[in-house]
Amino acid sequence: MVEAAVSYQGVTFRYHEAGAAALQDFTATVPKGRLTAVIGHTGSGKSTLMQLTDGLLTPTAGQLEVLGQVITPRTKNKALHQLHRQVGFVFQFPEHQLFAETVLADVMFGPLNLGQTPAQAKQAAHQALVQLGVGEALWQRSPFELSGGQQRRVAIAGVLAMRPQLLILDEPTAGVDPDGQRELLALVERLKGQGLTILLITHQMEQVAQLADTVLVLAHGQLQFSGQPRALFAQPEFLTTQQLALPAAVAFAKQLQTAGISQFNQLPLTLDELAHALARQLKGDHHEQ
Amino acid sequence: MNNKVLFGMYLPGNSLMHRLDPRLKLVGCFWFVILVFFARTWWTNLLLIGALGLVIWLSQVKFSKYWAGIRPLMWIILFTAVIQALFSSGGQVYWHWGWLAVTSAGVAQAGFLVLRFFLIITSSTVVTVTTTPLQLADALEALMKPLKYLRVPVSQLAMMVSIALRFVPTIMDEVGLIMNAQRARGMDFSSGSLFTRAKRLVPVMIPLFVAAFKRAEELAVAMEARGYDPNQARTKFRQLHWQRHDTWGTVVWGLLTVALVALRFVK
Repeated sequence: MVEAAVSYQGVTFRYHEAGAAALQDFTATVPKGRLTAVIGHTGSGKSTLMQLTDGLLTPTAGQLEVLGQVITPRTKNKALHQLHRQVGFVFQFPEHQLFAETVLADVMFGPLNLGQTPAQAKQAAHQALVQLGVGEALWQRSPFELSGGQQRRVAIAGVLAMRPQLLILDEPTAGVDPDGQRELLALVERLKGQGLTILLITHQMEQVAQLADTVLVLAHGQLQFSGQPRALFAQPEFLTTQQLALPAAVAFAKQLQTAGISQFNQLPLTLDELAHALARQLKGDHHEQ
Repeated sequence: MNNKVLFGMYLPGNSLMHRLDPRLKLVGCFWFVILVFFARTWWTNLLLIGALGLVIWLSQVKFSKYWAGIRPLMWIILFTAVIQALFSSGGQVYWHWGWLAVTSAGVAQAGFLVLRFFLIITSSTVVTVTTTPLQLADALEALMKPLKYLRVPVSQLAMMVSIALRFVPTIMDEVGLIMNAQRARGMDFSSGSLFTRAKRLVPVMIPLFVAAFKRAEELAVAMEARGYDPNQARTKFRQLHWQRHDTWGTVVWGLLTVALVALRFVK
């Protein structure tokens, strides 16, 4: 059993006292050093869950423990300030938070808020920008002159420069062109490889299949599924009731199976896995993975 | 958001006041304010309080909500009243220090002043609480129609007002979102001196303005793409219909005026 980075214990959250619960008695854990995908439709409570995780909201009932800090309905905002510093939250369309005169100054904003000296902040910003592949030629430019994809990467760099222990990504690839998406996903994979705990909100099942170690499925503020992606995609009926699609590779493999063309011991999750499985079947055992 | 009532926030409902024609409410409110300045005796003010009480009762919104709307303005009102009491003369002198004096006339005037503020603010709150901003914009457009003959672009102004009102909640949401994003980047909005707090608004205001300009641009393009021509005569989706209760409302307000004039002059 891996250590938990976040554990939700019966968390309920209401935006209005009398209103419907955005989250209802939510209990789950997020393993440390792994990537957990959070999926569910608009209004399922994903964003609320993430804001609770960053301490931007406090629960109406129940409690959660994030990186060792316990948050209860009575936790004061002041106490949560420390948490904002340890959790990196990349909001949806993070380029909307850019404000500084230069790219570099914007990325330094977070580290400076942490109390780092300008020199340290600069160092952290440099590293983050290089990590995101933002060329040095752009560092002194205004962030508003950049293209949409570049703005997105600068904004993500602004969060990574704070060197968070837990990273929340809310649909990082929404509205990005396919090349940009691939680059961002490669970055997520690299960060995961460095042992960072990541929470990824996504609507794309391919991303879940490719990247996630664990999946949480939410609907109407309640947890519907918690487990490995392979286990999730092995239940097509459940996915249909949740109005979620299968990743392309899984769907294709399923069709091959029902048509009686191929049989899989274990359903392939990604196109690579599918290709290998098919190659193995066609060539016998000589194919090397 | 529901727990704080702001001055001029619409509260949904289906009371008589909610259903009243917005044009009548606007003109009625304006007329009421004129009457307030017309009333100079306790009796006439009492009559106006009675009328206001009636409208508040008809609006079926709790008085505590109205009170919550006035409270933030209370300090300004009290300050003005104190100035009024100190600087007006006449009647019995209660207390004086140099040329500052509190006199019976001054106190009475200060009392009327507080009452006037209260009547004006509350009556306009009744209108905004029972009328959606879009209805108000429609009413404003209808009432400004005569200005068309003076070549005032009335329908364009009305369009601007309704677009502005339409985007208030959107921009409020955006403020919340950007503040959260900057808080997540370690920004602390809740401590420090007034000056440092004001400085902290920069990372919120700049993205907000950028987004607002972008949105305005997009909206303009979208409107043009759908064939919006500012100089064209426009038909309306929301039509204002004068109904019987509107006539009755006018009658009641007419009676109020007559009663006030009678109280003022007959005695």
